[in-house]
Amino acid sequence: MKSLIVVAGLVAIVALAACQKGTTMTKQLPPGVPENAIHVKDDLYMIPIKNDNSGCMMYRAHSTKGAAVAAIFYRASDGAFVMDKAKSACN
Amino acid sequence: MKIIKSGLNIYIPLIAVLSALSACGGGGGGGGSSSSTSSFDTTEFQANYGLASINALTAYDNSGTGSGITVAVIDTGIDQTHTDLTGNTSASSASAGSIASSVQDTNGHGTQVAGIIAAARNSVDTHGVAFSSTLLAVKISEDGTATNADLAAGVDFAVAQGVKVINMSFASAAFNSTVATSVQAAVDAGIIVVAASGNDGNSQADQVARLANCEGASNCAAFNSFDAKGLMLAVGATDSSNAIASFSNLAGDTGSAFLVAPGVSIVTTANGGGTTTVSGTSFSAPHVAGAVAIILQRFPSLTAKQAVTLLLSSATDLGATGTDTTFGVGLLNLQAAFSAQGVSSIPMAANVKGASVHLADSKVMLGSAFGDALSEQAFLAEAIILDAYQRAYYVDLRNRIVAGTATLVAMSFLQSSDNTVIEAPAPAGISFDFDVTGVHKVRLSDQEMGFAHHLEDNLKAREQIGALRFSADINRQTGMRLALRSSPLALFGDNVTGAVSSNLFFNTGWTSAPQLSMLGLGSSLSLSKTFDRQTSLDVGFHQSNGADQSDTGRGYLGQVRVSHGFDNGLRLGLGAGYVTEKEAMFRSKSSGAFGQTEDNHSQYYSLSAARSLTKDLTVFASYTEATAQPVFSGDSLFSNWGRVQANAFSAGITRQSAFAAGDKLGLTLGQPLRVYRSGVDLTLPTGRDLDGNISQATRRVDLGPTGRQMDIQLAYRRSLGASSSIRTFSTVSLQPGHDRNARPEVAAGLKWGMNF
Repeated sequence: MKSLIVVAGLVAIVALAACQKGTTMTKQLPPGVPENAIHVKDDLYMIPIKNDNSGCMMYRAHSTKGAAVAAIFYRASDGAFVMDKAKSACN
Repeated sequence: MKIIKSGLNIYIPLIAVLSALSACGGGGGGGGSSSSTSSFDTTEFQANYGLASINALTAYDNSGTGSGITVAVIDTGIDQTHTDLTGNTSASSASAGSIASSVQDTNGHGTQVAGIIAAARNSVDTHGVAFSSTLLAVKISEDGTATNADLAAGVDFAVAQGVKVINMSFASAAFNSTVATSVQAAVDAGIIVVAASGNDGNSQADQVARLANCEGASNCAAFNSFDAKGLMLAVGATDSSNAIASFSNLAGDTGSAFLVAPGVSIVTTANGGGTTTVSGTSFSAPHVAGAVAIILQRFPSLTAKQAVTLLLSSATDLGATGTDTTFGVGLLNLQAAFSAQGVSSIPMAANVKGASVHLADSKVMLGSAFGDALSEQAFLAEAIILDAYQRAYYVDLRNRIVAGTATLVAMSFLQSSDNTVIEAPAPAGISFDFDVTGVHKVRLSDQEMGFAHHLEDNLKAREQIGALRFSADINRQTGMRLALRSSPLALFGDNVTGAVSSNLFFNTGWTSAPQLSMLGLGSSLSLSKTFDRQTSLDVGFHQSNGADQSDTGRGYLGQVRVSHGFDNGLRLGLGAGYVTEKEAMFRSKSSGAFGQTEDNHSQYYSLSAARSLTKDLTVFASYTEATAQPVFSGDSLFSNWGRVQANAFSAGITRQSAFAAGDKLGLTLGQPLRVYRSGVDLTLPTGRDLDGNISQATRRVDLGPTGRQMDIQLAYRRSLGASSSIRTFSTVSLQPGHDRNARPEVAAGLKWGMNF
């Protein structure tokens, strides 16, 4: 019985530890980056703008350290961002 | 409109017709190439609707290709293996800043931007705005982001390479002075910088683009006192309907340096080959960068600042009238940019900095004696004008010539002094009448554009002449006539042929006494004296102050005529006249580059004869020689005027009792006054070189008309009892107005008169 309590305690600690780790996995967005921004890689973020005429969400690129291309991006079915709407999930 | 090369190897846009000038000021709107007959309107052209939206066909039709102009694309590199890009990418292309990889694009964005600027016109996929320009790829990014340091390094590299245009399709949220310093160096070097406004959907342009209307510390202290020096353009995005793209940042406070260009669903070159369809202000900016390349190539005398100003001032206004916070100055419009801008002027000196005269102020209104003279001078089509940017355009100055108006029999019929006469009771030897004829006037008008003349027939042109005439026989040998508000034709004419044709023909005064047609309505005084039954003398004077509101016809004339009858039935007359026309010559006048017509004096000498062949048959003829030495003032394309000589003549035959006792039948042939000899040196500006030197050509031109008006008139008069009579005529005027291309004028009239 005592060993069961110890195991249960360890499980609870591990579970709590896991919960603690889970909160730190949601990466804090840098200052100036909107909360709805999607981090792509490095200093590249995609910020949703609005839906276009066909209801497809448009994104713009964002960089915290300098500049980013002034193109419109769409989300592909694999989660990647593409500039050609024909290759997006909207199509 | 077409542009050709001049003999000086300079640019000379040709305006085929003046109406093309009406496009000045940015009118026109986008699109509209579907009905084009341009050889550049190809499938490749149509692949990107943006080319039509900015009216690029006009540039192509006028040799605007961007050739020789290098545009830096500061971006993610260029796919140098792409068929449309491999041939026009500079070997000096390189990566800049921290980017160590080759200039080959691995992202795609740079290739897309580059294709819009300069994709080759090779019948493959699509072509760029400036399809013959050179691309300098400056790679500052691998993944679509760039640090400020790399962005600045890219600009610095482009400046070092001596490019003419920089395209920046990057938006910056972390803009700092490093970038501003580099862009400042670019504009300081005279490079035109084109920047995308960004895709935040904000009311203000992105910070880099927003530099475009900075003018130093006064309004851009926050941007390191940046001064764009008028060399930056911010560009927003429109769709195929010229509506602002929903994602585009708006002009905001950058309006005066803000253009819009197509940026929604743009087909352009794709990384790896072929095309792709993309959106964003990233793709609006290269439309403008390409247009800048074309302007710099096609109009090499323009400074960079002038090129920017030209594109801004010629944009198609969208949204609120004038510059606004959404569209800025409006949509890029190459057609308007290629049109003459502002006030067009005719250079009068040997350099564009010398004297010039506004085209709109320059015109020649020819009197009928000159007919189609200048309108047949093809040399006038070789002149150039300068627009507000001192760009040279061919213009056909024949459009500034209003040809002479035909002198028509129908007019003299309507203006005849005896149309409606109320005669007042008076003592013997005195008559008094006034004319209440409604005159159907024919008037030249200067149309707002095109300068064509037209016949104006409206109620405003109808006037009641209300001429007042008084005549009195002082004694059996002396008579006097006085007229007010009257045409000189109505009071005195040739006293030989006039006596024969009186109350029969219309218009003989135009041919037998042409000096009388030089002046308009006014006051006339005539004295006549018969020395014996065979010899008579007439002296006349007329003064007109323009009561008929004509552009010409003011002045005065004096004339003297003497006639003598011989026993064999021959009557001869000699006449001399002197006319002073106010600011006109033979009812012609000019202004502006053609010189200002001063008061001109002309002399007239006439010989007339009539002979009765039988009791009822009489023949008559007259000839008048006129001469004048033109007087003009001011700078003029005309110089070294020769003496102008003209003549008029008529001949005819009348028969009394042709069909019935007391009737009269007549036939006459006549030529109104026509210039047959004249000469003047015409010096035209025919080209300009890059130094602003104007080339000129001079030719001696003849101002005589190529046509010859001949009037043939058949007239008949018959009494209908004691109190009424009828007069009828029919006439044909060949080449009316001495215009060889004019169709014959046919007129007929019938007049019935009754005495109460």
